[in-house]
Amino acid sequence: MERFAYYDTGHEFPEEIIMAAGFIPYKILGDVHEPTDPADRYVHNYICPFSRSALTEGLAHSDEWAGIAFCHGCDTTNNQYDIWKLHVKAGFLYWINTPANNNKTAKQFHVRELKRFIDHLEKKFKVTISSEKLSEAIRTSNRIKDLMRQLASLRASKDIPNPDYHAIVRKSIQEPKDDLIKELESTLKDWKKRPEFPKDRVPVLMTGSDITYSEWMEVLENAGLRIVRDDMSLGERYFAETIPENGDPIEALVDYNSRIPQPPTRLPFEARLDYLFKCLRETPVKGVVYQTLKFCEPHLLDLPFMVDQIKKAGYKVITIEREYTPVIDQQVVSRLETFREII
Amino acid sequence: MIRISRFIVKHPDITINGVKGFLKQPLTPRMFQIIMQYINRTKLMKLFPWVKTGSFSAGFPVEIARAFDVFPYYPEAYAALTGSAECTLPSIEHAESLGYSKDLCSYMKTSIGASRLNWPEDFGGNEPTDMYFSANAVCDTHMKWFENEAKIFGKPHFGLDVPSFVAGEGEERHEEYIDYVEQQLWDLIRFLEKHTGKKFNEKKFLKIIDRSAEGSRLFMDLFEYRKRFPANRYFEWVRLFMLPMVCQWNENDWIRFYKKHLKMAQKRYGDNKVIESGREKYRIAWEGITIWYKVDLYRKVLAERGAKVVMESYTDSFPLRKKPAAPTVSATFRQIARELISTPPYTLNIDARIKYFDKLIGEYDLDGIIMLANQSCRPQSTGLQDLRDALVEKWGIPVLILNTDHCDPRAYAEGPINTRIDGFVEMMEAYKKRVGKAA
Repeated sequence: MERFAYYDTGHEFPEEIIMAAGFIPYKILGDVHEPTDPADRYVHNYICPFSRSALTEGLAHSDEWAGIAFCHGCDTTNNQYDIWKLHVKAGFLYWINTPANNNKTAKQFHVRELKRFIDHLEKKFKVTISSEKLSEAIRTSNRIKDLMRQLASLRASKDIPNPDYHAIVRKSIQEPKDDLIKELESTLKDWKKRPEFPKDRVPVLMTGSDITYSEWMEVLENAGLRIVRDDMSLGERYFAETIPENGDPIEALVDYNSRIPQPPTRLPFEARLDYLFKCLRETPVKGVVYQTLKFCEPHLLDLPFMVDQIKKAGYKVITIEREYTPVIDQQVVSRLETFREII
Repeated sequence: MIRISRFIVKHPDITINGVKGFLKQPLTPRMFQIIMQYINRTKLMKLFPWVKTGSFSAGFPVEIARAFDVFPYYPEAYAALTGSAECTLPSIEHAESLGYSKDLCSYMKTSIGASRLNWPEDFGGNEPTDMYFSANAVCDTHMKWFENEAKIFGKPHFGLDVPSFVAGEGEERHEEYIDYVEQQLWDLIRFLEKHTGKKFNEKKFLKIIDRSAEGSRLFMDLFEYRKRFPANRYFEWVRLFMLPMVCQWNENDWIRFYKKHLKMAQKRYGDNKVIESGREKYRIAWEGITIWYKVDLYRKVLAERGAKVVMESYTDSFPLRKKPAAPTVSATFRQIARELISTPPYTLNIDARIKYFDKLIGEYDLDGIIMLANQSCRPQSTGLQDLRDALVEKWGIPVLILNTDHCDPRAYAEGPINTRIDGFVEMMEAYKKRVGKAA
């Protein structure tokens, strides 16, 4: 089965449509270890380094993918789609204009966008994406989300190092789903047997830009901080909610999309904050790590207000603007260690 | 008056700098008067408890709110004026001290910093308004900035989601996007009815649209005279001249003002393409926001080398409004939607952007193009390299990509920029010889 790649800066992409079309959905996450020189030929270096890394991956690997689809997330998606269209060799490159709002009008538009996407896939790949196939894909997705929820919930009680959690989340959006279910089931058995939450680790909630490489998870681990909750797309946003299994599957996907913890590119603001406080109520943490990737505008724009709200709620919070690099920055480690001492 | 008096007493140095900055602008007394009239009205309106006020991001279809008597405030315009007064740095630094990153939009930081410092509108401040309106047609920043402000001040926010019409899409999808935006404009009516307690007055709205379209038409008619030799007006003038139209205040005044300028242009040129003093040495187009705090770049650095900016996508992005196909609200909403999605050069995809500049090169007889790689406007900066490559390949025209920022003077390195402009001028000279243009 071929991979079908998608570029999505939040968690808006309907993987289930790709699964129903007979492809393996593969989220483009770039590679922090590869220089972004090929992308820097087209995109300025003061624009999101992750987006440049994703473009670099697209330039190098697009021939391994059946097609590529974009979802409207932050400005890098709509702005850079044209650059991909000009320079990335793709037999099928598609733009899904996921709405920024979360109201009735936006949902109706979203349904139309997804139907149009299905129509284009069917024509291009000569496949039929029936309601039955979609429903089956939704059930598979829900099984994965359920397993991921169980795994993620163990972070607060078992010894699950940050990179372990990160690795499994990354797999959940890049690996073939059937193999993934088996792996998640086996990992769940393994994690349940893990020792109790280590006393020398401090539980924290992580928010902000998606972390796409494990080295930054190691930074936190080195500082003695253990992420037990998060609200990131490469994290809980992916599995926090279940897709309705009854009724029209397209409507179900849109309904699901409206209920997931929202990324900063979506309105209204409250949805994001509500989920964050829900996490804080559900799971005792000692503090909040609010990290943003350099040039990640949506998160940088939210940061002052969000931090203020978190502080007002009585939580300790550290804000860190990080570079896109696998190098473990000892200055960041020192700051995190100090934060750990404070909390 | 109290706020500006307090400001002057507290910040005499900034006030003096501001006055000096304004004096550098090619402002006529009438233009200055029109700008000050608006600033003073913004202050006055907040004193009237019965007047509903709204903060708008640039490009938002303000006419709909104005039909409900919402008085418009434009934080970006105040930031732009503060930029032209060369006074943005203290407010930008104050915003950064509040947690806003150095990498965020300098319009936004100028406004937020000045507002939190309780500076008056003359120096970029914007007191809380009753409502907030923004669209993502241009950038996420518009949407997030106004949503954040509304949230902070506990006010309602209306976010207009404008789909991105990416390269390669056809008319069918365009129409679907128009449907979506039209539907949201009806949602906006319900939002305004709820928050103003007034019913939508269609006649009043259509009349406002008519006047808005008239203003846009006059502005564009004036652009025609920039195609003549020498151009009627240059960027450093037009960037201020457009402000009344951008901010939609007292349109009778600015329509009169624009008409007067159109008459002057007609008198100057008549039917002539060239007037006695002849063509500029180098005619250039500017892609991107103007560098507000550095009018000398246009009036001295470029001008002294014989280069004048005769056309710019920034000022061309605002005279949007056209008369709808039919005088109905639905037709007008669809026209507004079309204008938002695919008309302003700022929202164009790369294919349309290339076509836009292809047209400008011929129509304005350009010798070169300066593209601003704007460190705090990433959407505008994205795709510049492809745009440049396409234009250079097709026309051989010199293109300079200039890295700096539109409102943050810290990003402006005078020496290196001047050196690059010297090189650009040499390229334009060679280009003119190559294509056989008279020296």
